[in-house]
Amino acid sequence: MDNRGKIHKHFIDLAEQYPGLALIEGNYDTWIVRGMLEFSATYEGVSIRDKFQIELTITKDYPDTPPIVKEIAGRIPKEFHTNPDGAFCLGAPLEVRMKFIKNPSLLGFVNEQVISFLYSFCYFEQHGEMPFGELSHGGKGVLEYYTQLFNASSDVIAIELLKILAENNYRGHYDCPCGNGKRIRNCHGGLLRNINSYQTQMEFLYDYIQCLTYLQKVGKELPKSLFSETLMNYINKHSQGLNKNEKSGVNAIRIK
Amino acid sequence: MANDIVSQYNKLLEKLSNELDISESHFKEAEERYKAIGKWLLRDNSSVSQYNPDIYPQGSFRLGTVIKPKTDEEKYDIDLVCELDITKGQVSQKQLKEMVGEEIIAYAKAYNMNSLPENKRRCWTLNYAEGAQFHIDILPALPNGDSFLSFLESKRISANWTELAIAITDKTHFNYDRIAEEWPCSNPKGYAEWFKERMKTQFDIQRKSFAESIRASIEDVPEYRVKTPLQRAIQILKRHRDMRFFGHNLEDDKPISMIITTLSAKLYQNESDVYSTLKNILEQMDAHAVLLSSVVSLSESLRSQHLIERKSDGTWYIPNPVNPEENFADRWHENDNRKARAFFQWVSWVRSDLIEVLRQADIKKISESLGHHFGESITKKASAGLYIASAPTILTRMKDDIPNVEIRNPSKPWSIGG
Repeated sequence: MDNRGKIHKHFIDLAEQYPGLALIEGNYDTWIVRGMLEFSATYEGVSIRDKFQIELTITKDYPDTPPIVKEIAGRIPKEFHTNPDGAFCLGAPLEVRMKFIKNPSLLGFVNEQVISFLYSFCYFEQHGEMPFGELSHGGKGVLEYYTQLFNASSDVIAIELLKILAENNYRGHYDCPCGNGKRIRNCHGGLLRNINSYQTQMEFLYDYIQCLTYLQKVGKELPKSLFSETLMNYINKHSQGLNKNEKSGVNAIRIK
Repeated sequence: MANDIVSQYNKLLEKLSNELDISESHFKEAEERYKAIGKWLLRDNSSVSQYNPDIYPQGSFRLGTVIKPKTDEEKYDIDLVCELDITKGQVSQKQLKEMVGEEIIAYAKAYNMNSLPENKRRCWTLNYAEGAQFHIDILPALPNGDSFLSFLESKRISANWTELAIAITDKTHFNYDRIAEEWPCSNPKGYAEWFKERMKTQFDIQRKSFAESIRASIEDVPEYRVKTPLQRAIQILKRHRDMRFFGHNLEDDKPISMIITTLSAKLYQNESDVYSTLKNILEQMDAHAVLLSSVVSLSESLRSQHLIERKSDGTWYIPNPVNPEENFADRWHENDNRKARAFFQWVSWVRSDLIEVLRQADIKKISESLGHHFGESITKKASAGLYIASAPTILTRMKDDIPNVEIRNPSKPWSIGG
């Protein structure tokens, strides 16, 4: 089936459960789902029922890439976990992608990721606290996510593991950076290879730059190997196409 | 229960036809290419721009029954008409062919195509470079509405859409290189109108429901986005034919797409689903198999349909609905009715592969069996999600009953800034 047919089908499944939504054809092979999302959701016995005006943007890479989602009636303030363009930061980028790829459909995406985000917001409105916790902003949050994902004992260890993916330099027989004395293949190797299939090297590199920038900013003492020549070359080579935000991150590393 | 399996099977057939569709990107690419040729013919120093060249698709592209090639190595054939506003009194067939040819050759050179266009019997063939999945056939033509009408009238034949008829060129025609009134003719636009008329009821329904599903107005839904059960059935039948005859000793005699399309459209009763459409079409086609025997004749009711006729001299007749002079089955009697036998053999194959398969009680088994006839990967794609989507409990939703989502393993929200 072509993408138009696929999106149409996925939309029908979504609209069956959320009849307030409409599918609109956008420019440049994008599609927009817009309208009222009325939901009821339960977490640990606490139910919330509410509705939001939302907009999902489906890019031409769908379903390899998850949709981008915004609230369009201005109820959710910008400071609440949104990007500068208003898109929800549903979670760490890798996590959002991993969840989406496991069930790449509009309904899956809304039920598994969008509703929990809206639930978080409603709960926060009512109780002033986040029901599932939250990640810090920017690089700090990304690093928190990787630290948790790798179950690493320190953020430096997490970034050393991330470096393997950013450099695309997995060597199973090397010692695992986590320091428990095993080789990578008998330790974090399986996990690394698994998550490697969800993002491109460039995306890991970008996550890496963010984490590294953050660690430098807070004055953490860092091993020299984190600034390896290979990585610096990658960063130089690819920094031309980056946006302003990303460039400032790159420059911060270059200055070193 | 029986109804359940029919509706699941219908879903499967519908999805199968979606899989057979040309991809959106290929469709757009084809569209861009033919528009580029049109632009080229209209450019300032084009030698034919004074004749207002009109380039338009014909055949399966126009009818919405195009199917993906079986493999990536095979190509889509795109048939275009290039109609010049000129008369038979001004040029011979040969001159028209060469006028169009000169510009097509210039086009191929300007765009650095690997090989020059080929001068075929009726058309020019543009071969795109490696990697492009297209051949484009361009059929030079001029308008022929009036003389076609008087021609048919002289034969006491009435037909619709004659005003859309065109005269075309044929290297083997006795008038090919002289100015003459008698040319081969064709009517692809008229045929497309006839075809559309045959499925109009379902077309309007489907277009309306598609518009509603995306909350757009009916006019906003382009015609090519709407697919009726008839179009889907034809796509399925064409692919079934290609697969079943592949490597078979009757392969060279397999039924042509025009016959499958014409007979299916004639038999279509505006059924609302693919399965009923196929069932009806195939039963009626099959009933004509008695024509192979010289002793049995058709029942009166079948004869009155004028679907497939057998003349007293043993030849066959399947008329083009907009030009009864054109017989799609003109070679069916050759080699002991080899093409006719291939056709009816195929009809009985499809009946058993697509209709009788429903005796299987299990949609999973049915899709496995379709896999044998349509290829495993395409059938797998078509049946993805089907078993779940058609689980026995179909939830009908009360108006203010919003399904509850149980949140499991939620993500912690994040943000870029900071």
